[in-house]
Formats: sequence, C-alpha cells, structure tokens
Amino acid sequence: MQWFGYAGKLLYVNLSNGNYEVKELAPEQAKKYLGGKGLAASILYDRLQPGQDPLGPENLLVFATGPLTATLAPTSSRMIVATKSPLTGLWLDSNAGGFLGREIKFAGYDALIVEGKSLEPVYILIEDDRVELRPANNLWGKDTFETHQTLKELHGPDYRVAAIGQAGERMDKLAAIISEARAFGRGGAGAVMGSKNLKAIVVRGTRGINIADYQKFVDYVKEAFNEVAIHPDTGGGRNHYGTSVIYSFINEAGVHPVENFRKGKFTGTDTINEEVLRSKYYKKDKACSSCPIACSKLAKVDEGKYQGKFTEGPEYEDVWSFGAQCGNTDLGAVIYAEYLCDAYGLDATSVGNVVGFAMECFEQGALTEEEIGYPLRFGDTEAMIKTVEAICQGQGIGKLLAQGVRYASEQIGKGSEKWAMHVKGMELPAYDPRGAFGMGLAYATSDRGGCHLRSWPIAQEVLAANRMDPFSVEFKAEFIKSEQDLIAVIDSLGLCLFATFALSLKQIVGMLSALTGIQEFNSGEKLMVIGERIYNLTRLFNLREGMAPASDTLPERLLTEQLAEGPAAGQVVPLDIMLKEYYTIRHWDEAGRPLPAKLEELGL
Amino acid sequence: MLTVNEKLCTGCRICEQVCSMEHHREFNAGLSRIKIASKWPEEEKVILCRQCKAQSCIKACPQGALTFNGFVVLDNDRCDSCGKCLEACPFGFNLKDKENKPLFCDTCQGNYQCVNWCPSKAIRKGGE
Amino acid sequence: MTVKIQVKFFAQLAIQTGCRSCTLEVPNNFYQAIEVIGARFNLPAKEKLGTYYSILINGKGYSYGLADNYELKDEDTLAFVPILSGG
Repeated sequence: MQWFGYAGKLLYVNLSNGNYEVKELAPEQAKKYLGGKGLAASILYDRLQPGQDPLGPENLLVFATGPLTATLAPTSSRMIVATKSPLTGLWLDSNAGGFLGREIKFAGYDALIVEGKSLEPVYILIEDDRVELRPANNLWGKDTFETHQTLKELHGPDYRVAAIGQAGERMDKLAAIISEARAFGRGGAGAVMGSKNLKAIVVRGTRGINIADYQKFVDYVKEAFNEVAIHPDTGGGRNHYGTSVIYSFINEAGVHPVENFRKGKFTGTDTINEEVLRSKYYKKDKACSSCPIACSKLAKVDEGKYQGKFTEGPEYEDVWSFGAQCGNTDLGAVIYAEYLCDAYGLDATSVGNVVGFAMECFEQGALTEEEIGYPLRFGDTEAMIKTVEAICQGQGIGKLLAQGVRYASEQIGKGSEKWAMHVKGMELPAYDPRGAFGMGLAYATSDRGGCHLRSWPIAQEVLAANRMDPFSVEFKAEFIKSEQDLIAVIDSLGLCLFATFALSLKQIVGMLSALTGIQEFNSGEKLMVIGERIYNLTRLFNLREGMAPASDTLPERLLTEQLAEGPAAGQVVPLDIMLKEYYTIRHWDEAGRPLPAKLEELGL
Repeated sequence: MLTVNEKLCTGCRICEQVCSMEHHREFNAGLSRIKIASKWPEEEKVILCRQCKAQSCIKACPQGALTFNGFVVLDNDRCDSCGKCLEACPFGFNLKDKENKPLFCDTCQGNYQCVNWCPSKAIRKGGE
Repeated sequence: MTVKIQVKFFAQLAIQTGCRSCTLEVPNNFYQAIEVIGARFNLPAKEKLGTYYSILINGKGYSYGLADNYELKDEDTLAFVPILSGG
C-alpha cells in the first residue's frame, strides 16, 4: 500500500534473542487508532499479557509517532513512549517533542516496539533498514549528557539519541528517558528501559514522507501557521516566557500549591516569576521540530553557587516542583535541580513533589534527622538540593524517595500516606484543584494517574476569558470527557497540545486528511470517536491490570482539608458528584467499567 | 544573497521541511538545501549557500559545472561529484545529495521559501 | 466615588505597560475603573477584554456572577492577564 503521512512500517526489536522484524502497518489499525498513543495502546493491549511485572522482560516499550510527526504541520514534533508503568502498575504514555520522532519517521517507521531483555547492556542502532544491537557496557553508569555525547561522537551529529541515566539503570520508579533536551518524563519509562538493559536508542533516517494532496496540505498548513502566530498565547506570551508564562497568574488565582499542598499561594514570587526567568536566566529561544512557538528556553545560571548549570526550561511544572512545593525561592537552585534530573534521567515534576513530601514528613516527625542525615525543612534550599542529589545518586534517603511518593509513604508509615500527593501512584503536578474543581476530576480520571495533560480545565476555570466557575461542578464532567478524547487524538497525531490553543479541530482535520488522503479522517466528529475509543481502550487496559474502582480519587488532603487563605480559601474538591456524572456521560458503570453497549459502539 | 543570524535561530528546522517540500513535494531533510546543525546546548549553525560574491566554488570546479545566475547553478551532467566546490566554500557550506552532488540554494525561483517560513526571522534576503 | 486598589499586569502585559504592580485611585464602578486604567497605561482595556486578556478580581475571574454595576472596594486587587491557554 502507498502511504501518505505515515511511514507504513512497524519495527519490532527483541532484546532477548537479538532479532528484529519489520511489519507492515495495517491500514485498518491506522484508521481505527490513528497512530502515536492510539497505535501504542492497541499494540500493548494485544501483546502484553495482563499481570506482568512492569520491570520484567515481558513488558513492552513502544516508541510511536503519529501521522503528522515529521511534517510541516506546526508543532508536529511529538511522539510517545508507552508501556506498563512501574510507578503506577497501569497504562503509561509519556510524550515528548524534540527530534527523535522526526528521525524515526525519516528512518521509515511509525513505531519501534522493544520486547524482551538483553543479558548485557546494549543500545539499538537504527539507520533506515539497518537495525543493530550494539554493546553498551562502556556507556553503563554514564549520565545522559555523556551518553549523548559519546554516541554522537561515534555515529555523527545527525544521529538522534534517546537514553537513560543512572536512575533508569537502577530501575528507580521515577526514571525518565531523555532525548537531547527533551524528556519522556512521567511514569517511569526510564526504569523499564533499564530493566531491559537498554541504555539508548540511536536513530538516523534519510527517507521521505509523502503528501497525498500537496496543494491542499500547503494551504492548510499556511493557515495554521498564521493562527499560531496571531494567537496571544502561542504567538505572544508562550513564545516570550515559555511554559512559565502562566506562573504569576496561577499563583494570583490561588491554585499554585505551596509546601506540599498545604497552602495555595506562594509568597516567594519576588525572586521566582516569569519575568525574572526571562531577564536573568533565559539565553536563547529553542524549538522542537517544526514548531513556530519555540516555548523552550535555554536557561543558564551565570553566577553564584550554581554557576554554569543549564537546562532547557525550566518548565512551569518544575519551577513549581523545586520552587513553591519545597518553599524554595532561588531560581538558580531550580535550574540546578532540573539539570541534575536531566543528567541522571529523572522526572523533575515527581522528584520535586517527593522532596516536598519528605519535608512534610520531617516537619511532622515521620522522618527524623538521623534517617535523613540533615534537617529537611520547607524553604531550606540547600537541604532540597542535597535531597535531589541523594535521589539522583540513589543514596541514603534518596534511594527510597526515587521510588515515588506512594511507595515512600508506604515504607515510612506513621500516617505519612495522607501527605503523599499522588493519584494512582503518579505524583501530582502544579495545580491545586481546590481552586479549580474540574482539575480535581481531571487528576482523578487521567488514564496514567495524577497528571495534568489528559485534560487541563485550568484553561477554562482560571485562564480563559469565557471561563467556567472554578468552584462549581456544573459542566465539568462533560468538559473533561471531551477534552480527554480530544487530547487522545492530539497525542496520537504527533502534534503538541499547545497547537490546540490556536488551532481548531477543523484545521487539524484539514491538515491530516490532505496529508494522509484517508477518508476516515475527514471530519472532527470521526476523530473524536477515535479519541473516545483510545480513552476507553486505555481504561480497559487499566481494568485488566486490576485497577481498583476506588482509585479514581484524590489525596485525602484535597477532599477534606480546606485552604486557609487565598481565592480558594475554605474550599475542598466535591469529587463524588463530578465523578458520578463523568461515569454516566462516559457510559461507564458505577465502578467505572465501560458498558458493553459503549464498547460495541466504539468497536472494542 | 541570503543573510543569517544564528542567534535568532531556534533550531525548529521548518526551513529544512519547507525546502524539501518545495523542491520534491515530500518531507525529507536529506534533500534539503538548507540544514540546521546543532550541538546542544551550543548555538545553532545554519548551513546553506549564501550566494556570496566570492564565488570560490565556481572558481574551484575543475569541470566547469558551476555558473552564477543570481545563484549558483549546477550543471548536473558535468558534475562528477568531486566535492572541490564545497571544500572551497568560505562559509563551510557542505550539503550533498545521495550522489555526493552539491545542494546549492536555487532561491525557489526567487520566492525564497525558507525566508518566508522562518518564524524567528533568522534567515533574510540581503538588504532586508 | 473613588477607591484605592492594587493593579497588576502579568506576562507580556507587564512589558507592554511597563508595570507589574502599582496602587491606583480609580472610580469604584468596575467598568469605569478599567477604562481609567486603560487610558493610564495606553491599553485598549474595554475593547480587548475577553479577547486579548482577562481580569482577576482578588484572584477570581470576572466573567461569571459579576453585575454591570459591580463595585470595587478599597484594597481590592485587579490583575490583568493575557489570554493564556495552558501550562
């Protein structure tokens, strides 16, 4: 079959026996699941037996691109890594931009599926048709910077790399996969890579991607570029400040969690805000493949204790996790902490969350100075950095904290479970749902646990002009369901979520159908059905893995403890009402299981 | 003539995509006449023929395969892929196709599509 | 009647107006107040409200439950925020 947009091939690599196999992408599979997340969900659901150890050789690691990946569609850099998460024991898809997806596509593959486990450390080398396992003993123990450098020096600067650091090698549950300046951060995909003795993948592609209707595609892309450029977010603030553009606003609205969600408004904003980041630390705008927004910023510390340390970002989430979450007001320390996480290969959002948790444990007496080795109080920047270093190096208390906040709280006990801010085992990010109720439902029903990237009602509850009342439950279930379905589509196409701020679904449909020439993609309604199918499939995956119905919930603190001050003072999240409505709208039963009629309708 | 400000380049490589799309109706960075080389976290390096006045490449070609007509024009039949033109380039231009023939910018018939599409205005036409 | 309020501008609006935070004396009627602020900072305050930026009053959004004759009080905070869509 002649493919447009798609590469049309899937590469299966078996690390246990060193064999690989190239399979044709089945047109029905593309039409049913698009690509990216949807394609990976269908592969994992078919091939992974339920109940397997996420860190065992049976688990699969799927690197999947979408049909728009590596084209000129604005923000079409994205790809996903999907696996069974060692952090949650459930579905995981972790999304990143950069240039890896483009290179995999240029090499001629829509997805790379890694199976089995190598006896010795290896890396996978892909040069178009040529696929090889190479020994990685000399790379084992190296951080991600060194690993990238060594592999690029060996193979050439045009080779694209994704690698794990020491955290992934140790199979720490917070381990990430790092690809140049971008991270497949959340949920522990790096640990799965480590469990397979897979240090890196190295890719070089020289093939082309075909366009079905050239002129139409160019016209739609031109229109899309214009929309992105004139939108006040994507063409203005985000380009200027990066993702931290929302920082002051979120704090003003009282939904910026402080000191492990004990407060909702941070007082350290004289030294931490988007303006200081821009004027003092940002050195250069950086962009992922085909992205005109360029929200990525090269940030560097020029002076002081952390002089010379750099990162791309720091993203809003991490300015929070190493800022307000730990009570730290030094942006230089935030950049250093993120630098460490990049180097050792860790999820910076979760690491900051778990450090804040440990600080609360210390202040409440559940962790002692003897156990930690030093006092660990909120606002103590040096102690925060020490703890991040311990997590990175897998030493002392860091060894425990690197396994995530749920596991750490179970081990520590002494009532610390109620300070563990996670959903389904994944650490919560930088929004307090007591000031935006919809965000609470989004956290509780995200398919990979406590994450803000399956639905982001903050935009409608706090940020947008035509907003919904943040303290009402009205419309929340409906909104979150439809946004989850839409984002499942975006994550399957290879676009960035930020594109959806400026682009309508109609414009996306225009680009996609002109590119692929596939009839089944020619309307927004059809794509939304695919999105709903994908979201139901990841739900089925989770249920098959034994997810308890009661785990669609929030940490007790958000349900029972009122914030003392700020715009959200006196509020707790009325989750039950929203959740019931959400199940009804999704056609799921009271236990959150998709009803047979819904599954039949979706062809599952 | 094209001018480049590497400080403004974000490394998005929209120019590479546009160039291969314009010339070959497909996305293929290997066919692009412009390339962004980068070694993170260092600055991006923009590699393309700038249609400079020195024209060292034309003088260096032993086959007489290069002429100048507002831009460097390659006579495909005469070129024997020796690479002398690229060695002579003072800007370090070194892009070749799969047959090792140089990939000179042809200005997209005067439309300069990379200039039109570059979101950060890192590439401009001389005098603009 | 006038009130003394705190006015804040965030992200690119801070650059545009050259101000992140200041105290101003403005009419106590909300809509008159934003016109005065708009004139002071050369911002098309009323026209672009809702399309280019939105306003938080004491951290809460304005566009629900806010009457036409909504009155500001002394020490209220008005925050002008460009329309942003995600983080």
